[in-house]
Parts: sequence; C-alpha cells; structure tokens
Amino acid sequence: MLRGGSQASNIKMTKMSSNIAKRLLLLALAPALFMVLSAPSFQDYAPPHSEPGPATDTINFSAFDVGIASRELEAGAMDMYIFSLKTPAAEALQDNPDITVYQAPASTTSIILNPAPAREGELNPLSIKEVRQAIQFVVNRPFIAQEIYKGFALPMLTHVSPSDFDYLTVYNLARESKITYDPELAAEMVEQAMTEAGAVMQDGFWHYNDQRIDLKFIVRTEDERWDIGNDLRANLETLGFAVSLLPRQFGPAIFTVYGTDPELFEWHLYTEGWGRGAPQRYDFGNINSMCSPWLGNMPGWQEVGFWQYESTELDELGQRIFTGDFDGLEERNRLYVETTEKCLEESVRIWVVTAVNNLPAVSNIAGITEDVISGPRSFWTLREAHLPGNTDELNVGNLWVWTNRTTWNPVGGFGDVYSNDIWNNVRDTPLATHPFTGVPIPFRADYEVETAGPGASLDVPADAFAWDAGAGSWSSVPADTRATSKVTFDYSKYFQSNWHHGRPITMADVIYPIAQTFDLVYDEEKANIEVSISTTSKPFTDTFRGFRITDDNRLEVYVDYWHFVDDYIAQYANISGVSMPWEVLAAMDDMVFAQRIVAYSDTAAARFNVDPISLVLDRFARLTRNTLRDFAEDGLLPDNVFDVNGASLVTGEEAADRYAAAIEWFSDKGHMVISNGPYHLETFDSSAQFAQIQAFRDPGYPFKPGDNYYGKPPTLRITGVEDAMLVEGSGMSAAVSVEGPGELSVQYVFQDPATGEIIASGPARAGSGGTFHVDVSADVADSLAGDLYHLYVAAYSDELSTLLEQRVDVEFGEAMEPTAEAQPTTQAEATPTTAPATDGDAEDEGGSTTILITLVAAAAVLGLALGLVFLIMRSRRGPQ
Amino acid sequence: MTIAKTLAIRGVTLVGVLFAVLVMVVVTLGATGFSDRMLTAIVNEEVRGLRQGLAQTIRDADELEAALRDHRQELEASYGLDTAWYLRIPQMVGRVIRLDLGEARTLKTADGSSSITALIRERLPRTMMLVTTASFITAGFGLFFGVKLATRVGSRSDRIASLFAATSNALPAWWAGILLILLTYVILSTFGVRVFPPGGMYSAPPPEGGLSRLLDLMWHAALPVITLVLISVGSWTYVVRTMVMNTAQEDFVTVARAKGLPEGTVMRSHILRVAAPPILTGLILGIASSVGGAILTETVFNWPGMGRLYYDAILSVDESVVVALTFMFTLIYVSARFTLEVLYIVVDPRVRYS
Repeated sequence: MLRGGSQASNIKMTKMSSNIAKRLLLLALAPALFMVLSAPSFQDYAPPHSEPGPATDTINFSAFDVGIASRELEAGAMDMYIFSLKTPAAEALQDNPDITVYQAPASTTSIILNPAPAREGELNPLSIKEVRQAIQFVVNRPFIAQEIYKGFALPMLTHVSPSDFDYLTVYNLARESKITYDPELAAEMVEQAMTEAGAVMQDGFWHYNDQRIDLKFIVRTEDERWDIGNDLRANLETLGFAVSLLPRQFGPAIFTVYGTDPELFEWHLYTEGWGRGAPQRYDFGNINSMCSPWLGNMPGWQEVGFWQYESTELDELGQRIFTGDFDGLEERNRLYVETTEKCLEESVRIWVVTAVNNLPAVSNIAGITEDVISGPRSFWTLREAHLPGNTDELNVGNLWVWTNRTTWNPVGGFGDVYSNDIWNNVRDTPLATHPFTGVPIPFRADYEVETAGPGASLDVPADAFAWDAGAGSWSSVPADTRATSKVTFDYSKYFQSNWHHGRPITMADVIYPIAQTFDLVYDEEKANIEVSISTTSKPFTDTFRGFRITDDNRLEVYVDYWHFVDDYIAQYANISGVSMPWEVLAAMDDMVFAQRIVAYSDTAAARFNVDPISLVLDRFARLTRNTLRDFAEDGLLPDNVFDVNGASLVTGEEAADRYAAAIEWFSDKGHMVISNGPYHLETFDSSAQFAQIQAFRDPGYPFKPGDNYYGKPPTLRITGVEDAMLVEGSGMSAAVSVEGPGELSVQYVFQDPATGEIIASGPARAGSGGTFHVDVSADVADSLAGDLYHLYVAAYSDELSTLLEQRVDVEFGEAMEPTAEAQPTTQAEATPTTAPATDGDAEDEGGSTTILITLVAAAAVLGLALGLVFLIMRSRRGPQ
Repeated sequence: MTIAKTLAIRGVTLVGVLFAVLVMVVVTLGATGFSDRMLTAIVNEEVRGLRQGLAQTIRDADELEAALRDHRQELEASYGLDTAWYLRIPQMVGRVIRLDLGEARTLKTADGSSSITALIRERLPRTMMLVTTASFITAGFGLFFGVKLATRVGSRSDRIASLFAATSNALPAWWAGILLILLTYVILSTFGVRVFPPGGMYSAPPPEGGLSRLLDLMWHAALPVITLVLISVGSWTYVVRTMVMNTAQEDFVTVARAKGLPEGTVMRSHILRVAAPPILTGLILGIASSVGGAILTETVFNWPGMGRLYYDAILSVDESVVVALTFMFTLIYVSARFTLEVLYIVVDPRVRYS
C-alpha cells in the first residue's frame, strides 16, 4: 500500500459529547450520480404499435459538428445526438425543457508517468516509486470533478471506475486507500525521496548534479484535459519540479508518447483519455491493459528496442486473471484485488476521473435504453426509440456518417464507430450484452451450455464435423476428440424470418461463415493473402473442436474454453455471426481470393494494391452484383461448404433464387448491405454524410416494439441506515435498508478515518425485507479509542453491473433515527439521467460564452468602424 | 538570344525548380527520419489498439504475442516500413514524375477508392468551386475598383478603400470564417432566420436530383466564398490601385496626355498595358495556387477540398499523397510561371529578351 500520512488534513475530527454524538451523517457518495435511481420506466413505456420490427418507420443519420449540435437539436434539425457534447454546451441545454441530456460514464482520464531510468549523471524523478506515489497526492480529484468537469465526473483512484461492477471487488482497497489531495504530505514524500536520490533544492527547484530537473508534460488540448494538465503542473511546481507544458492534439501526442522510446524522455507525463464500451461484469482485459506491462499498454509498450517498464508480479497476477487461471469467482476476485493493490503501489498510471458523456435528445422521445456505460448510444436504443404520436421518422445526429476509415465489411470488420452506430440497427446478433448487468444474454439465438471445465473435458460425438481446409470440405472429427465445453445454439428466431431481400434465413447462412472463418485461417493460399486476419484469428479458431447439427434449428459447438459464468462460454463459442446471406459472403470470397480485385483488410489492400471492400459503396456493391451474376450464369454453388454429413444444405434452385434476390436488391438500393435486423439500409450517401434506414416489417421477424426495451437501469436505493452507533459493552448492529431489483447484497467497510485502518469489513448479514445488518462485536467496539468512525455500505444487485455506495459517520452513543434532511439519495433520484444541478452562475456560463464571443466580435467591428470614421475625419482636416 | 531560346532556358530552369522541390520532399520526409518515425508510431498505435481487441478472444499470452508479431510485420509491409526510406520515397517520386500518382494508404474518396488520381478528381472541383471562384471574384472586384480608385487618389472613397484593404488583409481566414458563422448562423438562427448553413457540403437529408443537389452545394459554398473574398479583396484592390497609380505618374503617360490623346486611350494603351504584368502575375499565380485549396477555410467550414486533403495527408503521413500533391502543386506553379513569362512579352511592349 501507499505510505500514509496524517489524515488530519483531510478529515476534521470534532470532539463531541456523547449526546451530540447521536447524530448520524449520511452522505450519498458520488457513485450515486451514475446510478439511475428513479422508478423503472418500463411500466411507463407504451410501445407505439405491435407490428413486427422497430418502433419507428424511418431513421435518418446525419453528421453534425459537435460545436453546432446543440443548436441544431434546439432548431429541430435532429431529434437525438449520439456523440458527446462538450460540458459547456451540455450545461447550456439544462434550462431547455424540450431537451434532455442523457449521461453516460463513458470515458476515463489518467496521467501516465514515464518511469524510465535517466542517463548517467541525470535523474528522472518519476523513476522513483515514492515520487510517483507522491504525485497521487497532488492530483486534486474533487476539484477536477466538480470545477473542471462542472460535476460531470467522478473521482477515480484505481483503473476501476466507481460505476464498474468490479468496484465492488476492490471496494475495501479503495476505502482503505489514504490517497487524498494533500500537497503537504506530497512535498514531504518528494523531499525525502529526492534527497535520498542525491537531488538538492535550489531556488525552489530540484537540481541534480547542478542541473535543474525539468519534466515534459504533454497535455491534450481538445477537452478538459487541458485544464487538468494546467492544474497538475501548478501542483507539481509546488513540489519543486520545473514543468514544461507541451500542448498537443491527438496525433502528435500519441506519436510522441506511444511512439518514442521512454528512455529518450520526449515526455515525462501525459494526460490520457479512454473511451468505454458496453459494461463488462467480470473484467479481465482492462486490468491487464492498465496495470500489467505484458499486455503492452505500460511505458515501453512492448515495442522492440524500447526501454520497458517491468513488473514480474503484475505480469503474473494479470495473466492469471487474463487466462482464467483460477478455480472460481472468489479466487478471481482475490487476484483482482492483489493486482489492483500492486498497481496502485506502482503508481505508473495515475487515475483522475470517470467523465460523463452528454448525449442530448428531444425530451418527448420515447423508447431510450440507457446502457450503464454508454448510455443511450447502445445497441438497444434505436430499435425502440420513437416520437410519441409520430412513428414515421426519427432524425439522429452523429459526428460523422462516413470517414476515411469507413468500411462496411462483415469479414474484415467495420472501420469506425459511426458505421457501427448504424449497422447495430441493421443486423441482429445471436447474443447481446445486457445493458445493465454487462453479462452476455441470448438475443436472436438461444443457447444451452454444458461444461466440464476448468479441469475436465467432454466427449465430442463421432458425427461432429470440423473444417478440413486441405480438402476444402467438412470432415468428421478424429476419434476421442474432447472439448472443455459444449454450447448448443438454437437459431429458430432467425429461421422463422427472412433476410432483408426477402429470402428465408437457413442453416446454410449459419454454416457458411464458420467455413469461411476456418478456411481463411487454415487454407494456406487464403491465409497468405489475408495475413492479418488469419494470424489474429488462428489462436481463437484453434480452440474449436467440432460442430454438430442436431436438428433443423440447432447447432452444437465444441470448444476448449471455460468461464465460471456459462453465458461467457456461449459468447466465446458464438463463431457464426449470421449477419449477411451466404451468397453475399461467397461473392466477397470470390472477389478477394479468386478475382483478387478487392481485399478484406487494409493491410492486404495495401500489399496487393487494391481497395478494401465496403458493401455500402456503389463501386464495391456493383462488383459484388457482377460476381453474383456470374455465379448465376455459370450455375456456381459452394456445395463443398454446404455438404454436411452427406446432405446438402442448399439446392441449385435455392442458390439461383438467392443470387437473383441479391442482384435485385442492388438494383433497388445501390448497395449490397443485406442483413436481418429491425431496419434495412435504404440509402447511404457518403459525400453528403447521410444514411437512412427503414423498418423491416417481415411477418416472421421475431421482435416487435417493447420486446427489446430496457429503459433506465432499475432502481437501487439505500433507504435508511439505522442504529449505526457504537454502544460500549454491546458493539454495533446497524440495519441497512435497501430497495432494488433482483438479488440484493450489501458490503460494508468500518473504518477509522484518523488512521485509515479498516476495523471490520465484509458482506453484511442479510435479514428480511431488504434489510442487511452490519455487526461490530462488543469486544471490537470496546477496543476502539477514537470518537468518530466511518461506516461505508455498498449495495448491489445481480441485475446491475454497478453499485451504490454510502457513508455513515458513526460515534459512541445511543441509537437515533436518521434526520430527514440526511436521506442519502435525494439528489440522485431526482436527476438520474440529466445533468446534475449546478449553481446559477455555472449554469449560465455555457450559454454566456456565445454571447461573450458575440460581444467581443461586435466590439471589434465597432472599433474598426470608429477607427475608419476617425481616420476619414482626420484626413479631411489634414493638408490637402 | 531568340525569344524561343530564352523561353526554353526559363522552362528548363522551372523544371529544375520542380525537381528541387521533389528532392526537398524526399529529404524532409525521409532523410530527417520524420516519415519512418511517424509511420512506426502509427504502427505501434495500431498494434497497441489491436492488442486490447484480440485479448477478448486470445487468452494465451504467448499466442497473443505471436499473433501480434505477425500482424505487426503485415502492418509494416503495408506502410512500406519494410523498405528503407531512400528506396521507398524516391520510388514514389519516380512514379509521380511518370504521372502515375499511385494509391493513398489511408485516405479514400467518398466511393471508397484509394487512387490518388480519383482523390484529386473528387476534391479538385470542390476546391475550385470554393477557392478558385473566390479568386475570380476577388480579381474582378480588385481590378474594377482598383482602377477606379487609381483615378481618385486621395478622395474619401480612396481613403476608405485603403483602410478596408488594411483591415481585410489583416483578417485571418479562420477568424473571419468563424465570425461570419457566428453572425449568419448563430445569431440569426436565434431569431429563426437561417441565411447560410454553418458548414458541410449538403443539407441533411441531401436533396435528390442533380440540379437541386447542385443548388444545395452552392448554398453551402456561399459563406466560405464570401469569407475568402472578404479577406483578400481589399489587398487586391489596393495593389491594383497602386500599380495603376504609379504607372499613371510615369513620364511616358504625361507625354501621351501632352500629345492630346484621349484619356481612355491613355488608360488602356499606356497605363493598363504597362501595369498589367505585375497584376497578371498576381492574378495567374493566385488562380494557380487556388487549386491547392485553403486549409483553414476548408477546415472551418468542413469542406473536404484539396487543402484538407493535403492537411490530412500530412497528419496521417500518407507519403504517396504528400508526394503526389506536392508534385502537382509545384507543376501547376511552374506552368503558371512559364505562362507568365510568355504573357509578359505579349502584354508589355517594353519587355524584350535579348
């Protein structure tokens, strides 16, 4: 753990009489901000109709610059903007009753320190662990969250955001940490460490070998990180470090920080920003990325020839979490805490805040599902979003619709997030991630999981098959093949409906992408063309042992993978995306590998001097159409893929019909994006930055409005904490009342704020009716010498991937009911999804910026005009 | 020395300029290490990003490293980093000299083509619509008012024009652009009036039909054109006014007037013909450079023209595009210069090479 110091600077200890000490102070801590605490709105949601497909008939996607988005929204040019507004713009919208600003804790900010050792005769203070730890104490997180982000952010100590489920895992650690804003303590720590290292303070700055120690601080200028950098620089200078602030935008910043050897000291500190996607209930990647050097996200970046920050302990711990080298949740959590603790001790990456993304929409919009991380910019929202009374059209704004990186390519991938924002509504995935719990759930496919893991394995039946790339066909698996897990997927909900071009979805559409994936990896010729896809897919495909079609709708997948939650095994085994009809995939394969006129990946495109295929653009769609026309004319059919256990999944007539349907689709739409989701892509105009999707109302489509609506995350409330006081001779038994969905639990930490010592912690004892008891024995209570203690309670549910935390001050005395004004969750309940209330001045600040600029401009124009008049008058008076 | 020989020497000199610029590009990109360093940084960043993505499916640390190693090699090959800069960049230069502009690495046309020729074919008309149009308007205004003012030196209109010229010339394009957006979009839209859009090329949704789409494009081009005219018309007017005024004070003009020639003849045949070469120089070089786009104005108005293309190519270290565009712009410049050499002889009776 970090070395501690006096807490006196942080917490004021007031000696109270035993009578006064009856008072309870209940504080709703910051995580409550992100908890959506109003009543679940599901009951309030009235699906606009019951036709199959989405709620709205047409959605238009257009690009709006973030600087004008709020104005365009207010002017009615769009109904929703799914790119985050800047804080002042979001603040300015607060007063507009016609606009709701949805909040999502979708980004985090950290400071990465360069810990490389300095050259001979020089000193890099950040190579000293104690100095890095001291910097933790000069990052003024509350100030940054409240003043720089205007309350739109939460302080962070570790890589785990207070809105992550794993915050519960590291809960004790976070509570036990003594890291606060304490420049005096930091100065003491720095002085000791620097003096021991041989540095001396001269003229207010640290010197080494008579050379002043200068730190290069690269600060991003695009957002609030600029202010964070300035604040931290001022604090670092109070510690005696001369800091050169280097303002940089994205490109130059990352080229310097991640592209140069840390030992060259092109930088010492850098303000990093991280985007966050869908919620992840059990993290394994983020902790490795943010703490363990082996995954290449710590200084040195695992680049050959660079100096590397090393930590064997963090690597070993991280890899055990990463590879699932544990026997269950408990051990996994223990490893997670240990890794986080070590990471905090190393302090190479210093966490600052989780920032809120502000996504505005017109207030009367209905059907919004708020993912606990990405808010309304989730997979679920636009399927249900509509304007009550008018389901004809919805206008959605984004930063871009098309960029240079845009490719709509189901094999090579989609090049940017903006394309995915549209594509998410055009296709249905077999599985999805629950917007509140972060756990994979069945969506268009159902599944059953059977596993023998982690230590044993299952038999793979003899009639299971695997792709034989050498023969170009399916073959039976070898005898005695075994696999850790078996997942049986049921694709009924796909097969009851059609593709957007009107042809039924069949098992052939499930099987083709599997064969395509394996062939791309194991067919030598194909693997040599699409090297990046094949090399990065191979470790994944190597874990698949076989497949077996059990009936018209079911496919068994045998895989060497285990997780303590079955749904994660299903997610891993979901190798067939069923995103496009097999004939389109076959045509793409032909163009990439036979005709060699396009490529799946950017790298292959560059190597073979062709363009990466993008089915949304006319040029490539036309090539696909031509290929399908050739297939039809020549009667071609990839029957090697469809011959499974002696039977063919597709007849020649069916194939001809599919080709004709796809060709007709192109003639009608001008693109080749054919899928199976609630909307079909009607128009994509790249130069106009515009796309339109229209409702797919196939009678067999399994979902109708209301089926995929989740709304706001359900309520989780700590309604009261009673008897939270210590009584000499009898200890404490506090009762915590919790309301919320699913199975509720409470974890507590009982702490001495003066020393930071955790006196007791663990799960609270469950009582009846949502009450949990925190017990402190008489022996423990009698051994306490202080007057004031903190009881932190964290409530959580198995139906949410976040938690709610509350602090109660506990003193010796007699029991007393909490006062009405001390109720903890009032603020959060009142404004769960809109911006937190701010004072009048702050609210006005964003709006007044425009006025200020206008006034300055007007003053400039007026000044010019007056100057002009003055000069004319003067010249008239002058000699002629 | 004959005129033809003189012009040939000038032509060869200008071709030398073209080669010198290309050599400078090679040195700037390659010999300084800029290109390799930046491309390596891009590869590093891509691998770092991919590492996080692959970690979702590849749980074996060694296999992950092996996959990333292979992917890195593939990326380095695609970025040309498997070839030394002194081979790679001169090859590009050699290719563009043969008018084979090649393929962009990251930049694409709206229809997904990486061909640099296609990129230029797409962006050039947009830039001409904006910058070249503005250049013509500016030149027209400048010539008309400059000549007028030259005959009214010291008048109130001349003094106003002089002040306006100084102001106009001092205005940064980006600032003027933002100011105009503020005035015509932010303030007026508060009152429900929308005169011009704040940026982009088309409305959302874009109008259907060729003519409607063209008119929409023109509407979007109006504000940036006004901006460009505003920042350059003052200095243009002032330059023309000064050239004409100076020429008008020459002895041969006084002689012409003393001979009793009509003022119109004096102006056309004696003043303008002599003042024309420097004015033509400005005009032709201005129009020639207009095809290079206006980076800041195109950025402020989100107008993807040639300026933005060049800027994006530099930012993404798209060497092929940088080399091709530098070649093209320099070629246009030397062509314009050569044209001027010829025009000087035609328009100014005093210019004779000997």
